[in-house]
Amino acid sequence: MVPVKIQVLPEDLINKIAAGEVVERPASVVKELVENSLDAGATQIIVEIQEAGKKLIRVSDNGCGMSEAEIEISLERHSTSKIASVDDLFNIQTLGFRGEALPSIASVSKMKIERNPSGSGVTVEAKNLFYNTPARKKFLKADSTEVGHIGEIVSKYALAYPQTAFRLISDGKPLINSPGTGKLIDAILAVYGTDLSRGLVEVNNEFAAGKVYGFISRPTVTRIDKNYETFFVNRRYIKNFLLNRALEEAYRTLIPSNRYPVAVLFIEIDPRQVDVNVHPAKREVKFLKTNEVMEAVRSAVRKSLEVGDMGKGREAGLVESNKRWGIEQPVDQLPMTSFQTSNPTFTQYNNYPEAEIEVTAIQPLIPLYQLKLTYIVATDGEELALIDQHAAHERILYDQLTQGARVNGQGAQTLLVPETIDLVTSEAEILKDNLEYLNSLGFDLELFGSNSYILRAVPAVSSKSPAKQLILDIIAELGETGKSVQLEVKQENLRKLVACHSAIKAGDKLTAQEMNQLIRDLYTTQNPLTCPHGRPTMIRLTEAELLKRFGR
Amino acid sequence: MEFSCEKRELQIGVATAEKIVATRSTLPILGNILFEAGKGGIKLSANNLEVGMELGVKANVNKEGSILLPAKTLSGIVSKLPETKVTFKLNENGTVRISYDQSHFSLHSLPPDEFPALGKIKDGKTFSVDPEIFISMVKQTIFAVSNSEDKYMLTGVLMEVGKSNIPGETNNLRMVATDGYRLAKRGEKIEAKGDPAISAIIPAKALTELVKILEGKKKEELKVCVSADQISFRYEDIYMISRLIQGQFPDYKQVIPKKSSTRVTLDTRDFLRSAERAAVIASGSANVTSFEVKGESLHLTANTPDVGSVVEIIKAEVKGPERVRISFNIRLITDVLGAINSEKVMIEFGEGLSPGVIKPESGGEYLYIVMPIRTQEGV
Ligand SMILES: Nc1ncnc2c1ncn2[C@@H]1O[C@H](COP(=O)(O)OP(=O)(O)OP(=O)(O)O)[C@@H](O)[C@H]1O
Ligand SMILES: [Mg+2]
Repeated sequence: MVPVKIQVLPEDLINKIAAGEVVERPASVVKELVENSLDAGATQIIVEIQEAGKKLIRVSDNGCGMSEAEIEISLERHSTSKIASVDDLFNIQTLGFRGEALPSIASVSKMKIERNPSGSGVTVEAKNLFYNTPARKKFLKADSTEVGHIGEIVSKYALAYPQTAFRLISDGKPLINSPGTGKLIDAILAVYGTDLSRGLVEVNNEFAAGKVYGFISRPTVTRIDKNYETFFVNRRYIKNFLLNRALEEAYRTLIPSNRYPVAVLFIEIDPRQVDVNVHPAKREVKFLKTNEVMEAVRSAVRKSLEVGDMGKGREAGLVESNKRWGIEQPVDQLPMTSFQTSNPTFTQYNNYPEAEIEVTAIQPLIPLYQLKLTYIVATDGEELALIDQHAAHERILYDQLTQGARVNGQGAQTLLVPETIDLVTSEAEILKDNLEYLNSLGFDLELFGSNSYILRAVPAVSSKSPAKQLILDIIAELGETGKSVQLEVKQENLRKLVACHSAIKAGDKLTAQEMNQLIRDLYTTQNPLTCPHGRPTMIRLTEAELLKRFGR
Repeated sequence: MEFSCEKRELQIGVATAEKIVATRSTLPILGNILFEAGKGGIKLSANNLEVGMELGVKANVNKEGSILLPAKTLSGIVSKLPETKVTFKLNENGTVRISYDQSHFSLHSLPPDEFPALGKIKDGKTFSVDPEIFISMVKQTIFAVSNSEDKYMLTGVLMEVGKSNIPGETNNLRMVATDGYRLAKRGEKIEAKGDPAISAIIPAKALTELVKILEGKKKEELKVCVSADQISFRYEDIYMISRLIQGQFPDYKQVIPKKSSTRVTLDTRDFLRSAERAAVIASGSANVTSFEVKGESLHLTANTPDVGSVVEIIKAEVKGPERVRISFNIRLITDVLGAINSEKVMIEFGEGLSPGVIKPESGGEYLYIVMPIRTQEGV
């Protein structure tokens, strides 16, 4: 006979606990249930969802289980087996402690808790979520978004608990399958795929109040946003922008300022040094000594970037005295004479017996100089123009993509070697959502396993971009901008994205011939004066303006 | 420190070192040239943290020592000096007196201790090669590298030393570069003592500098030394060192087509000029240009709505079936044609969407593989 562990909390303690919105969306249910399973010591957790969790969320585990009596009392508000007094609250070792999750879920769904027939663990089921709160239900996003959120939650716990095997099954399809070997890198592999995992180095460093460990990307592997910066404090997945900042500071000058590293970092710290009770979903933490923790992250990351197998990486070599001067500039971050691909100049021709050429475009501007590797200074003899090379190219490519869609379909530049693209669940959902149109633009992406794709071609306009990064950047940005319901708008946005990420960037060196070509192409577009986002492609200084400026 | 040397010698040395000097560095110290006066003469060093370089200049050294001098100012001065003997002398107050004939300059100098030391490779594998050959190999491959830092290992040229395991090839020095859409590969047979096995990805930026420095030099052998993470080049008393790119270069052997069905031989110059003309129009349509074999000719076609269209017809020798109709990015074609010296060039097509292969008709084992563009209907 199992003793009854669960008891109702005393009133004063209840008040100490920030009450709050526990169940916001299907992913919040998954989070609470998975946490309970983990608190119960499960080494195997299976999460099944149907219709993005709206119809069904079922979590079964092999944890310590519950007696029938415990099942009953667990549905009461503030019933928990995890803490008993105020003192315990400041020394929390479990993920749950409020005794709030199950009753909250039960109040907005049809909930059922059952002991597993096998004898170990329980299965908790929440059906028809928000059936009695239609307003809530209306706020739910598209299925793919909600599945993405759930995937993210399960991924985070799979990372935090590598010794527990996680499975996420959505409408019968396995999305995540972590092996539970106890090795962090295996969990990372299951969540992020082999390709990304190969680009990681280990972090392991102690500081006064604890320890920082995990994996971070080499400076060659970067992402367009912070989505790949993941932190756990005492194995709890948390968001704390100061930690992101500390991490990014460690990479400063090693990677471009608009790119972000990949990191799965664990901070182990005396529980008395953190306050987890600042956010209803326990997502945020406050550190007693923030600076100390930030410094610990910074130096742990720096150390791994400097030594370890990194040492052989990009910054090895010439910079022997770098450290001595305290200089943080890496080898390849410094500007250097850019080399140009050989572009034979356009030579005069005279013998083309059967060839025919018809050209109607005129060239209005002559490029004079590439300013700061960003702007083309040009003139037509009357006015002076400053052309933003990226915006101009973006316009050109956007028009070509739009035209291709209208006229004879898009050219697809095939790849020498097809690339495998491993995605996390939320990304895979985004891609799935946009796949058809992306392929019609010239990508050749094919599903290959649950969250992996094979990329065989990119739009012809993108053949200067690294194929894989292009698609990853586009997915990341799609995730950020959300989606439009209107197909037209959605497709237009995608074309803008492809154009933006395929266009030459500020800092790309252009030859005189390339500048000429850019201007010529710009003037064949529908709207040479603005980029697809509506920003100007050029600024013109008229003679009148000059006269005025010089006070003549 | 005090030394004197001939203006001409000094000018050559400074001009060479200046190529390495970082131009817009956030580290102002890298805008300097390090002068080290020792027993046998003086040594000039420059380092931009990507590439480091060192070279000797003949000089009479009166007093040993070292200083840093700003590269830009110095080269401005030296290039304008009369053809005469020039003396450098470091004063107590840190200025350097540069005197010649009756006149002199006084330049502020910096103490040398903060200048990053040039690495030396300890246990490297070495080989020697004719610099002209080496440079031609670089030039025929380097344009195919990726310019994107995101594809880091593709921003360099793969250099391999050792017997080729591709049937029919006799080379033992290879350079390969690719950006994921095309691949350039050049092989050469060299005298390599002790048959070292080397495989290294050299940053394109370092090779660009090397080409500039070695251009026109052919008197002596170029000595190459490679370790796990660095490569150095020595030509006479010029020494250059660069880090290597770490990473897995794609398996290029796997992308070389085993067979082709149609082979077209063309005059390289005619082909290049036609391609350049087609590119004028194609550039409005993502450079998509259709290639068609008809009779004894190759037709290049491009069109851009609202701009115009072009049909270029090039006389050709055709072997194999004529029904080739495939599109390429014309820029990827003009790139390689500009790098081929042979009078005639061959382009081979396979079935369906298999890559095009371009080779010179004669002269060296050179291969350029270019992936086609899939279109709705040819163009
Ligand atoms: N999967 C499970 N296995 C074993 N016991 C469980 C399981 N799920 C819940 N319980 C028991 O039910 C109690 C109530 O769970 P509930 O999630 O409502 O509260 P909590 O986890 O204690 O706190 P919180 O509201 O912060 O999550 C837990 O304290 C635990 O004893
Ligand atoms: Mg709980």
